Amino acid sequence: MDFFIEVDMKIVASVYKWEQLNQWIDAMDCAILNVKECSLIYEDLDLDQAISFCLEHKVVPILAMNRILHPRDISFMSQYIMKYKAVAYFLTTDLAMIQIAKKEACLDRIIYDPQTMIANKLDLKTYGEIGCHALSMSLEIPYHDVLESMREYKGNLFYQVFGYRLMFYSKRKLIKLYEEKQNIIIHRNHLFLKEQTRDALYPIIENENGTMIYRSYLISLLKEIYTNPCIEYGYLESLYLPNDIFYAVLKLYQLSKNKEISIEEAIQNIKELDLHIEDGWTYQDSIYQKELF
Amino acid sequence: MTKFELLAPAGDLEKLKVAILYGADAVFIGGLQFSLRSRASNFTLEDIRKACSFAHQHHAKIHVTCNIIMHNIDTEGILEYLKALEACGVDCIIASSLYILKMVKEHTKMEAHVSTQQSTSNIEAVQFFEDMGIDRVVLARELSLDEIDGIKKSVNTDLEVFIHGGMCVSISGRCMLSNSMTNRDANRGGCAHSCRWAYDILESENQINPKEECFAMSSKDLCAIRAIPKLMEIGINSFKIEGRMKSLHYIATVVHTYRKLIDAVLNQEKIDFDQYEKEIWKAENRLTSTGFLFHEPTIREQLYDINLAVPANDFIGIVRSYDSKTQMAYVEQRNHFLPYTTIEVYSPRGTYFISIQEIYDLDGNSLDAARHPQQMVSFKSEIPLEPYDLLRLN
Repeated sequence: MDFFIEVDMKIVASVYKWEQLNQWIDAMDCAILNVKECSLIYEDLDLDQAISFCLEHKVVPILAMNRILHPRDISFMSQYIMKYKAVAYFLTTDLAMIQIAKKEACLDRIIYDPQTMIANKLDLKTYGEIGCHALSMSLEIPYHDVLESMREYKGNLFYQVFGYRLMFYSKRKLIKLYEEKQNIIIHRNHLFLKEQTRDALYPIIENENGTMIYRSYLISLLKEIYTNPCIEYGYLESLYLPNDIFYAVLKLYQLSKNKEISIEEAIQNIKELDLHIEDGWTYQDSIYQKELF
Repeated sequence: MTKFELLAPAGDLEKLKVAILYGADAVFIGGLQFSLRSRASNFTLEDIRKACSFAHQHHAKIHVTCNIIMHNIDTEGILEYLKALEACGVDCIIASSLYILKMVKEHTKMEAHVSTQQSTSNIEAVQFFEDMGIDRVVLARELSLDEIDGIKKSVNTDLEVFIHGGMCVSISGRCMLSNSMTNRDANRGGCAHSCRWAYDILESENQINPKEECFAMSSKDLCAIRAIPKLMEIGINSFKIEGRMKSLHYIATVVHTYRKLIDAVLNQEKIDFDQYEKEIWKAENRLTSTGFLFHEPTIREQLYDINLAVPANDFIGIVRSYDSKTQMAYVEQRNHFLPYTTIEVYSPRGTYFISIQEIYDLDGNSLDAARHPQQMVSFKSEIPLEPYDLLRLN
């Protein structure tokens, strides 16, 4: 059964709680379901219930399996692939998931997002030869690099178009260790990290998978994705945003996609939500400490 | 029986020679293109040719890192560069790019090694690379000894593990801290070590850490002295020392210590780990821990005060030549030392002590101290010294 019949970019929202799925379901084409059992970031979403709800509403469920895996994780992850491969896609980060999917003959269910690892056209093409359903590119490259790379890769691109972007992933539980060192208790509720000489606030999350830190600002590629479309799955990250605000953004992306409002109008409406949005590397490449050739 | 490779870093030709003379079976270096550690004094093709020649004369191998995560602008000329490295005599390429690894396998006779930037942490991920015909996988630094053991038992590809040096607190290759905060891309050689900076942690707007303290994330360096026997029992093929930017003294000391340890384990000698660690400490300038090898990191594995790093200044000079007729040793000074001092000679042949009398400059003037870095000085030693012998304060 093929869920993907639209040619236009699918709007993909990350979901962590039941009430989010319930509230946002009409504004998304696909839902990234983040659950404790296999996702990098999770809250208390029940996977079976969430998948059923998605299917009822003709929303494609994508199970987030986006961790670097230890040997102890593999058997469990394999079981999840076998269990859900007929109805869901899998957002993966570890190459092990590709191996498992090869064995289970379901590579066409894998969305492979190795975070930083695919940052150029040659690697995109090489990873493309594996045969996954979709690939993601690095979020550290300019959008024109994404466009240039997509000219040579004919497969599906999964790309984050909105929200906070992950910038650090450690297996160490840094907050727990700091609590122990200082003999204090830190409630894991909407925490931010602030470098002492800078004003920026970086969302920081710790759970059983380790510590994850996000950039201090949101990205929004509304203009880019509709004026230079190359993304099959446009992923909107909901972390650290109030549900109502995220829903408003999701609706604006949807209305814009359906040409019910203009891109300019959608961008203006997002601005009015008073979010801290920056370009990131959309137009500016990072510095390569270039050597003397 | 597994042939254990001791793999050392080198930032320049001299360090490379020292690494090999002090016991490395192989050395990894960066070229001027496609390599991380941009501030390490990377090698020109001519340097690489000389490095390969020296290494092969000493039955050692040269690995070249091509481990940047390329952007489109970086991709030009990669195949030509790989072929140029092969022509220089390079044995292995270390890369995280699937494209580069594929090019090495399809277009050269060099070995293709998967960089730790790929964070390979399980059997299936290693098997992915096995299917590509990859020769070796450098495992992620977040694995325990038991996990490494389990992986080794199930794969055929050579495995390499880090045994000493800096530890990224983030999963390797997945860190964008430096890039996000300074626009310096760690994955293209520009890491600003933002993980070692001082942070506050806030709940909404309220600072949680005590005012006078910072929230620190940095990890102590890795020192796997106590894990070596187990890693050898597991059959790990290569033991990697990190630190292409480290000093000559550091490289000599760390390489030689691990060389002696590996040989002692092979010879089934009784191992006094304390002695090996003490030796390492003569050159180490950062606090160390065993990382993930024995257990999940605790506060003992974290570096909460970067100022606790210990400057190593026992290294006073390197022997450049020795005149056996006059018994004069010619030494390049590295730290302050005085005449009429007993000093330790640290050499590939062993460690011993000599007493020096007068110190002279190259014009034959007697000096009251050798106080200028890289000044050439001489003194008499009845015991013959050799180039690349290192001198340390007792």
